[in-house]
Amino acid sequence: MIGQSTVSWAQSPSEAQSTEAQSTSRAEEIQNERASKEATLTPDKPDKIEHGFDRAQDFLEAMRTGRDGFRIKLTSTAPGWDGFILGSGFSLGAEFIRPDLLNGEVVARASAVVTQKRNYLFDAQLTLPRLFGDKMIVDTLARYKSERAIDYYGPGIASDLGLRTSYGKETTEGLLKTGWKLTRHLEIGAVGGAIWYNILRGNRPGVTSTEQIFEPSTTPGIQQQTNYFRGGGYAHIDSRSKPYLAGRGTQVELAYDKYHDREHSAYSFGVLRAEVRQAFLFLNEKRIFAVRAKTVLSYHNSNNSVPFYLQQTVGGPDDLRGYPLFRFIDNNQLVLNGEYRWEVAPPVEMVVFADGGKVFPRPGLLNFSDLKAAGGIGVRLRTRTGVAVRLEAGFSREGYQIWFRFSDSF
Amino acid sequence: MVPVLRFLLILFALVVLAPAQASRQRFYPDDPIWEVPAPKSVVQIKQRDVNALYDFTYQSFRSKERLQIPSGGINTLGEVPDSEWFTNRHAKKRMTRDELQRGPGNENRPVAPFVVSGVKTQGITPGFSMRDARGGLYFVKTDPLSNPEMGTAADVIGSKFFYALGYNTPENYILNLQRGDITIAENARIESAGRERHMKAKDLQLILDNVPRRKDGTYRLLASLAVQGEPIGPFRYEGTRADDPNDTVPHDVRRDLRGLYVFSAWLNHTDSKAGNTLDVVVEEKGVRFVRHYLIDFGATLGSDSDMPKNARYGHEYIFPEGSKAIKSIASLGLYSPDWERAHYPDHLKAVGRFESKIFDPTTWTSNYPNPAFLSRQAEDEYWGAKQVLTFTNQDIRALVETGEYSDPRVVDYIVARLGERRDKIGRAFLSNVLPLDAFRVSGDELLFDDLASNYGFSSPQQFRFRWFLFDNQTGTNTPVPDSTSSKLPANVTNSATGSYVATEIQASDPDKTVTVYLRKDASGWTPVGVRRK
Repeated sequence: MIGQSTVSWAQSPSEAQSTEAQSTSRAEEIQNERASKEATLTPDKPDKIEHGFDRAQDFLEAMRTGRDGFRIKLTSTAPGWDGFILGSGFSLGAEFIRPDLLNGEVVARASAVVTQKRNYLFDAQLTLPRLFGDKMIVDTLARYKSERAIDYYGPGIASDLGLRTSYGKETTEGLLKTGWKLTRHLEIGAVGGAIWYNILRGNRPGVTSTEQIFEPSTTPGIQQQTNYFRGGGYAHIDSRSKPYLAGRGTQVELAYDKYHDREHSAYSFGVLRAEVRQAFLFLNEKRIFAVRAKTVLSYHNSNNSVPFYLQQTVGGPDDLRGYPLFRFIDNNQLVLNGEYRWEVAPPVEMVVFADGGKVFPRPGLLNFSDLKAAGGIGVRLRTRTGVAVRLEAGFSREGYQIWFRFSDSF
Repeated sequence: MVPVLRFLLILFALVVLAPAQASRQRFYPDDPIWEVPAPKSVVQIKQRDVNALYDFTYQSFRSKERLQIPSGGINTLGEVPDSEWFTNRHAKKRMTRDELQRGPGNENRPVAPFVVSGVKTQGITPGFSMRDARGGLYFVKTDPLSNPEMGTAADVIGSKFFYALGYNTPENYILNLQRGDITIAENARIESAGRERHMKAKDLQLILDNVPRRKDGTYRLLASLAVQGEPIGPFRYEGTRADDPNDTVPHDVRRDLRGLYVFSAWLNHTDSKAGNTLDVVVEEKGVRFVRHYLIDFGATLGSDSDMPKNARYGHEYIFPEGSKAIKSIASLGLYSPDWERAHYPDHLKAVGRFESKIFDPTTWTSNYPNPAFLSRQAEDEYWGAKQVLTFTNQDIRALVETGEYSDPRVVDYIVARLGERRDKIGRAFLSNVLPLDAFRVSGDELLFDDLASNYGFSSPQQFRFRWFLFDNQTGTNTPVPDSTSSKLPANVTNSATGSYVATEIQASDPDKTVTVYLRKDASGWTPVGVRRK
């Protein structure tokens, strides 16, 4: 409770306000006020609402820190790795983490997570985050995840919206990643490991399972799944002085991954990913034009193909926002995004966006023809360290989509 | 307590108790006091923090309207006496260049070697605490890589300015650290994901890797000496501490906190909030009492500690008024207020975002509403403005130089902008009242300074006087006929010691008057009260 007093000594001459005993001097009047208060002192405590804030923050802090290494987990991602596929719904799980092993030289963690759509995940991670004076990181991840309702509309940019199907996928993987921070703005690294896939019937209510409509001739891998050795390298350039400050500077990502089919030698391929993001700030950084160009190109010889569950998709909250999630799928992908962002208040940002994107069967078809277009508007809640929540409405020839995400668009 | 209730209580004191007060003298023999009496000793007083999120949320979304409650914590001249909150310094007696630069102290500049005792986990900028060779405890903060010198300089300069203005501030120093001068204490701990572990040299290096380095390889840091005493948490900008007998004037009523608005506007201290204050229990002459500090000036001038100041800050709250937000949304961002188009010295990274052209002292805002600022009245602004105006360009330069900028153009730029902001403050806040001050009697004439005229904000004015005999016991005024000049009426010049006389002074604007009360002492007539309307 905030202490209160109606006494304000020594105001203007006709406004002497003391309600205390008659004083003979100003100093005595002040001392009388003090004596009066002294007789009624109470502990200075927060009021009920502030106390509620304290308790809520204590609770959130307890969730963050956990107890004896155990804590609640609200995402499926592991540090440095992705999580569930988009559209899996809200996550809830438990995590054990020990970031203090060998005085912070080793971090160990494991988690189990389930989503509202009954996807689930178990993982274990061991990280050496501070090698060579914090310039190098070695990270290992063992993970099993089950995703039960992934939409599939058939291959190509002309696929039929009415042929919506769904499939499930189990992924078991053991991966090793090393990253080198060569300079403040450049990091290179390598990733390798083994991956086991198991494709399942889709369980989305009211949606046909994929294998009931599509055949191996159009949907490679639908009858014959395989397992992989995966290996590749990447380079990230990030010119931002603080990575969480949206839009300041240039970001470039390049990666090449080779997927080697260990069982059939029929589904080996390589994937080249390239992405450039640039933002242009004006009006004292209260307006931002942000653009992104991203392509993923798959390379394989004539005896091999890319299984449909590893093909590239377009459609959803992170690329073509006027189309349903994974609306288009093929071996290759091109996505172009432009956003005009304006700050309404530091925690609130509005955005108008235009997206273009396509999928295509051969890398040689990388061009700007046949792009699917979408546009829309959104609002984002920002914290000092990034986007906390975004709500966006995307529009396209196929209607509109509403997206609610706990991450930035790009 | 809600403002309405407080207002009613004050009204009760004024109206219901009026008969009792009618017989009370208006001026005491010791008026005007310039120093509050020695404090009473505190007995049981405990640490109490302010929840930063609550404070932000509550202050941001409650009504910004405030009842017109006159200021308190002042003497009968309207001045703030010296207390545990405030000490009259530069404005009352000009400080020398050395005194300005010394500020709260410069004898405790940290001395190597240093031992890190912990990592700073609160606040925006990375930092740590350390002890120097003499055992002094310092809190160390850094500059962002993008703006070397910006935050550290702002923190030092801010502490010197606010000290000269009258507040208690910590001793802040620029420290040029050699990496070999600092080690980690054996018991230093660091928290990571909820678990503590020993702090290692790598942890310190991770902080230093994000600190701009000078060409000679040293790291420029801000070292703030821990204030003496037992910290008991911040003070709020409203109400009083329930456990401090000396804290009797609601903070949102205190002139020294209301007037802080003017100083914060001048120095662009946009982060003026409870969280950047500190109460400490100190013991002097056997009495334990609470001393009140302003701390953390990393968000003054063009700095926002870890980045240049957001251009919005100082012009709009973090959550702006609804109408402005709606305009922004409805216009798809095409609506652009002036501050979005303000020009900043991008070539002077150490400045950050600081300017004077679109600065408007009447609409300046802290990052979120500060209850004492919202409660301010024209007299509080006047009190603050006349203090700001006592800082000459040379004074400002002396203070800005304490930031130890490596580029003299940065000093020139900030000094120029502060001078321009000072003048805007003078023009704005001296025009809301009749800005007459420094009343004194010479012979049989009342003399005073017309601050607006003295500072060149207006041309000299003609004044009219209405003299009264003032009964200090009843508060009644008896007009003295034919007394319209600055000379005391002939029939009062020989009044007995202890007599009172008053004069109401008016210039061209009939709505602005100053009434000055004089008391006959053994040495002659002395101004004892000033009332502005």
